[in-house]
Amino acid sequence: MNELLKVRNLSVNYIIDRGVIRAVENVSFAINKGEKICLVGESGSGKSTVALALMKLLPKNAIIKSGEIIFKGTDLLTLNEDKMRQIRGKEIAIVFQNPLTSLNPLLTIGVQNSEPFEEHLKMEKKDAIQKAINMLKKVKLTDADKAVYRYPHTFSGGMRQRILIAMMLSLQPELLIADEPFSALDVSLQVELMHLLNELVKDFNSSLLFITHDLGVAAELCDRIIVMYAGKIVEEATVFDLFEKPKHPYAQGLLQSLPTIEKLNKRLVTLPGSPPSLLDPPKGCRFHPRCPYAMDICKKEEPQLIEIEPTHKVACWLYKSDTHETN
Amino acid sequence: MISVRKIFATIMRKDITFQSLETVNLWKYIITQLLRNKKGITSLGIISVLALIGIFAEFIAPYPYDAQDLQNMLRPPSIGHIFGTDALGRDVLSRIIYGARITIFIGFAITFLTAILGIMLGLIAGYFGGVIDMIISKIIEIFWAFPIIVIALGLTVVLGPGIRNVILVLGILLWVPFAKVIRTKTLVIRENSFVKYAKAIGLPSIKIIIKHIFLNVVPDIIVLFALTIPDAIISSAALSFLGLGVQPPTPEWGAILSDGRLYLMIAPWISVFPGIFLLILALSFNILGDVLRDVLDPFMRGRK
Repeated sequence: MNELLKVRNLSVNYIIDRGVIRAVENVSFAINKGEKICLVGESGSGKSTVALALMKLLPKNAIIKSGEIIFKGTDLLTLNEDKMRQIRGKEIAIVFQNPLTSLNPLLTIGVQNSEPFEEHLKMEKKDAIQKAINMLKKVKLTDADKAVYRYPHTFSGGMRQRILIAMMLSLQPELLIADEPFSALDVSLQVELMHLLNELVKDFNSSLLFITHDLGVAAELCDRIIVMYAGKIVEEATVFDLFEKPKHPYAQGLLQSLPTIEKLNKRLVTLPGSPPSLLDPPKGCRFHPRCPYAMDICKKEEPQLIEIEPTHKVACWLYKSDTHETN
Repeated sequence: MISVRKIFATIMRKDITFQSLETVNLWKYIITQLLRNKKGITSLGIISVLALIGIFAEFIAPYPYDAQDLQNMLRPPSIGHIFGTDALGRDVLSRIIYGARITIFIGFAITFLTAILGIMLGLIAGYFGGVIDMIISKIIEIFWAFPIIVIALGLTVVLGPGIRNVILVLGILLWVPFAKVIRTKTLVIRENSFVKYAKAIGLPSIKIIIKHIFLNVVPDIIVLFALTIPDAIISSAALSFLGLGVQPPTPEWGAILSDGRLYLMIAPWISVFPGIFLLILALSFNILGDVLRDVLDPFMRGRK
């Protein structure tokens, strides 16, 4: 079995003054070695929370209510902070949104990008900077030899994201989480960086968990797509399956809302309504208030994620599992 | 003074802004900006002159600070004694010159101690938050609630007077504003993405605090430092005035002031001159602190 990461029944709550936000509920998925997976969903669907939970970097008001995150055989949730630190940056790395504020303005690129080498491999400063230069060359930063002596403000947003990608991939982590890394960049840069990321991940034989709300990017980059809605996984399928035969009404709606060549003269279909408040999510299926096929059972009972084909899972009462439930 | 400024102005003509491509040296930036600012260069000049006077007191002072001349007691300012003499016939000017050394040293020593305490507690409270922050914040509030000089009085009575104890007592009492400002600043910096990245790399908290947060509060520390010094000087002078600080015959300005208070009606010069010097020194540090704050605050940059 080449399963690298397995998340089982992960639930995360945020405690705020007005109550408890059930941001992520019973999320289960697995990532194989070398696989590229996309987590798609709209804002507030819990994508980033899943990413932060995997790194155990959730904010202080978040609690992991239940679940397991099994990475290479050990449950990360049982590890203490010290052990977790040895995994962060070395075995699991993460690239966040908005590269503009992500580098310390007072330190040179060299100092910041050599940190992983110094911290995890206990390298000398000089060697670490040399390694950092090599990494910067790999992300095709122009003039990498001199760039290490420059400060962050002298780089553009795209360059900074390259620098950050280089920093996080320094130690060839087995899993790279990318949390909407290109959303602050313009489209041409997005494509360029996406191909770069793709190449690097392939070179390093890393797995990728790519978080985005852009289905186009997801289709281009990933092997499998997980669709999240209101803190739950509603559908999980290979890219081709999802785009050709989406099962869940939400996924169908999402795909219909994409502009395509065939639909040039028509108005885009939109999903009515907006996502529910997670302070008080609707009973039963969380999508039922917006679902065109809503049935009685949808309002009462939550559907489980079931396997309808070997590589296709969906959580919807419209589909019956004839064989077995997952997990 | 004007010619010095002109020379500097020509040397430093090139604008250094944070947007320029060259790497920026914070200290160089501060000094350039200070020297181009009227208030900055004046206050810095006064402080430097007073500090030099203190350092080279032996060569400048016309008399030793403890040379008594009982035939010339309480003499008003004259050519021989520009600031007059005190009750033991000692030259007030000489005492003020020697006093500059001690006064400025005490000011710096106290501020140094408060800075260390305040920075450490502020960083820890701000970075870790939660219970640790609550405890430190409560301690800050407790200290804030009491008039400092009263606690200082009590503590010096217990510990006994003397330079060392004054520094110690005021050092552990004046850290509150330091800690408060650093804590607030840390709370802001902590939310920056670069701290998130530092965590994601797997850096331990102590390294994140030193490398990523401390560096970013250095400008605030510089300003606080300059603004705490006058506080420290005035408070230690007050303690000396009350007889709990520096002991005679050591010439601290507050102590000289205190010596003169018995003769205020007949020989006001004994108290007036050290008072004026105290005022000038404290004011200079205050103005310097204000200018530093303006220079280091990016929102004030480019405004007049």
